[in-house]
Amino acid sequence: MADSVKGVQQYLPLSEATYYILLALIEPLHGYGVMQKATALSNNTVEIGPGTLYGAFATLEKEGLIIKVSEEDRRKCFGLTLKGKQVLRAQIERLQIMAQSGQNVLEQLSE
Amino acid sequence: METTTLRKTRIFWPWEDEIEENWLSEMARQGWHLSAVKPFGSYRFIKGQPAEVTYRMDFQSGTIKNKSDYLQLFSDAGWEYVGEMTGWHYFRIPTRAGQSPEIFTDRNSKLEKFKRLQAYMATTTGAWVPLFVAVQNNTETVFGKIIVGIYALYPFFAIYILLRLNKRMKQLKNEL
Repeated sequence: MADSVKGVQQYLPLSEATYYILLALIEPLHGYGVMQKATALSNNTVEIGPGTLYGAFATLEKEGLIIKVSEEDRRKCFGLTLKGKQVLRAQIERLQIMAQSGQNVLEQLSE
Repeated sequence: METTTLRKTRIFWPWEDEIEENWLSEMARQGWHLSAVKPFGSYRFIKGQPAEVTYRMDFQSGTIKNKSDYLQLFSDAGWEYVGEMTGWHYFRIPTRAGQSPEIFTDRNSKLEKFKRLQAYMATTTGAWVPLFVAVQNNTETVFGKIIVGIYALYPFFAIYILLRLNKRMKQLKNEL
């Protein structure tokens, strides 16, 4: 158990682009689908260029966080592996702590 | 008759990719649109309507493992592929509302491109060692001396490029 927690921790914190890529892949998608979904999920604050996405896919596949699940019109569709889901969960929990501490301070700031 | 095609040869340093991209945009502004790239800095243009076009260059050494996936991603995102020259891949997209889109949208992936260039330089320099051993005693003729001279200077050239690439990466880190 301790080993797997440490295994997940080494990938954190995820870059903003990687975080949205993993979020988007909660259902299998091809590259362009990921770009569009990342933009939508982030309220247009994050845009992922094709060069960045190609590199991220290659790295995430090598690290075993995502896996090719199918092919549609010559486009590879990727999905999350079990490890990918664990890393994403750990990242979200970390962000929740960050957002919660921020929220507390925000209330003091507006007093 | 008006010329409709143009050839230009330009040698660029690998840390000056932005200058090259801007030059290609400037050519497009004058109606010269890149039609092909050939090894060692040879560019072909076709005359057309002047247009605001953003050019971007990626570097991928050797053959890309999944070239069709790579090109598909760019094409789906609206980028037109012009061609490849010694590892450099040329893409373009219309400039909209004065905004030049990027193919690399975060610092990490921008730096990765220069890391690939450095790895490529390191590999070619490694390949130089056995070649130099093979030619080094061949100094009996003038031609042989010239060859040995060129080979002897190559590592300095490679180190210079590696250092300039380092400087460019430092600049990028400060910009972002």
